[in-house]
Amino acid sequence: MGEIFDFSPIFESFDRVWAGFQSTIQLSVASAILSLVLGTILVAMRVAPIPLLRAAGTIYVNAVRNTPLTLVLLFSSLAISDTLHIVVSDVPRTNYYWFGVFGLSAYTACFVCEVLRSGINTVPLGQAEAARSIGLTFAQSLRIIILPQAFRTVIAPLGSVFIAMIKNTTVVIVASYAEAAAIMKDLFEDYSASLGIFIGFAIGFMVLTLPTGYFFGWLAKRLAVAR
Amino acid sequence: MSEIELTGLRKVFEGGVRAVDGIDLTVADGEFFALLGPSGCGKTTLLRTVAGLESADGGTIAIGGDDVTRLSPGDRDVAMVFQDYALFPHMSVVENIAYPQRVKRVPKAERQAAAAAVGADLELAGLMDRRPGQLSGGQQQRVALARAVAARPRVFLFDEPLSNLDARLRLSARTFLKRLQRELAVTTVFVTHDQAEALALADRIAVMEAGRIRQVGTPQEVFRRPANTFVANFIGSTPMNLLPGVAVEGGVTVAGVRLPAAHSVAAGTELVVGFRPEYATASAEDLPGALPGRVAIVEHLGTSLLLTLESGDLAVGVTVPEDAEPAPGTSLWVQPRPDRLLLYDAGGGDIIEA
Repeated sequence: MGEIFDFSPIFESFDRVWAGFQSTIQLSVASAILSLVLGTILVAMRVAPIPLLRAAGTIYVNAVRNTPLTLVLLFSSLAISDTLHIVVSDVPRTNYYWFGVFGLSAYTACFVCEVLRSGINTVPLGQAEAARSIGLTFAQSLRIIILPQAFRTVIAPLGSVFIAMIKNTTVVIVASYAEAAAIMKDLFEDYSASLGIFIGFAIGFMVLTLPTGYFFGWLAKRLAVAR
Repeated sequence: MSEIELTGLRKVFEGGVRAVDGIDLTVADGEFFALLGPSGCGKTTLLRTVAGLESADGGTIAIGGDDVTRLSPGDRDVAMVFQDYALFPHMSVVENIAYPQRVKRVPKAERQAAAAAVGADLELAGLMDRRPGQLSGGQQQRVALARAVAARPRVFLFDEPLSNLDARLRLSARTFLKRLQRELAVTTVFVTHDQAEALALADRIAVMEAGRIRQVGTPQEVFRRPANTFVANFIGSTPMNLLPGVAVEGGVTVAGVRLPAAHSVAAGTELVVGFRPEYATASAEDLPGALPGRVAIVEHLGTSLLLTLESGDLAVGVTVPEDAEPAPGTSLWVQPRPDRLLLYDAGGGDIIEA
């Protein structure tokens, strides 16, 4: 019994555990920002009045969203580095970090896009018409009138997307970047598997995701649009 | 000059619904013009086509002599006030009012000053930093008006601007709107389904049905001499009596009663006889040219009562002063004022000129 709930490996190797979670945080922050930008571009394409842009956005979202993340990450690292021979950094670890960020962002952006699109659907049609009638172009009305309102209505669901994304960082190991989950596997091998390591890492992820959820919930209330 | 000239304007929706079916109409410079009609008559589509929110399928729209048919809404120099106001909820009142000028690249100081001036005119001075969600319905409506006014357009287009207000507020907002339009003297087209609103506000009214205009005229013309039975039915707070009759020499007979009326139709022609309940008197005794009936329903209208009498198979409406309330079942005679009797063709429903 005592052996099962033995948390000592976590404390003995706390430096490695902490380094692993630092990598997770770095991956998460960069992917959150990049996927938000990409997702916004994608949703702009999906609601654009130009059929070609709409089709491109739709195909991208449906293709990437329905592909397992592992494949997306493998594709990101293999295609970019082995096929296209693109090197982001001379430091291999930094290089793999960016491949991880790209893959994770490319995948998460689809979900950001779809959440935003449902937010756009909550903005009354009259808002777009009012924007048109005062002379805003499509891009202007999207940027100034529609998206600010859409974002505010989907802050809470965006939080869920980011929580899922934080947990998805554990798959980035396939892109050869070691984060918390990779360290956990190392510890399993070093100490022989124990429930303590497992629970320790689960708590570590909750420390990241629970505040994320609370933060987005708080932000949603604060920025709610009163009509 | 900013008169609006519509020539053969058409808008056909998918499925073949002709919402605007070949409309020719000229709205004079500075005129307050109402598009009136029941739901689905095409009045809102017509307004939206003038605004550029719908593209015309045929015909032309000219504003101040310039053809704007193919221009985008922002380039037509019109300002629209929407039924639900469509204020931007994430912007303050002053930003809402000033935004159209920001789009037109008016310098910030200038547009802020203009917004403040217009806001003060529309009794919004203390509310400029609030969000629309923090305002009452009447205040939101004035912000929507202020946004249109501050844009200094050649034409105002109002889509049922008063219909989201409660009944009490609607009356004061109506007076406010009329005064504002008089002061600004900007050509204004507004859509309404409320005939009382159209009569009260407009210089001229177009009554629409099924994508076409059935009559254009001043409130007085439309009220006094509806051009057809559709308009006769639609205009007036109380429904006009439209009774089947037969032409006789120098008059008509309705349910066997001879009513004097000047006309040029051959005797024996079937027609429709129209008169408003307000233009008839009720009497306790038989008078010449009076229809007999029994009081079936009494409705209070405030200063008067609307009686509905059963006269054989016909229902006849007449108004009486508020203090002369008859008991249901009372026998009365209804005598229409001969000078307010209108005759309509029984087939097409068009008015028969005297």
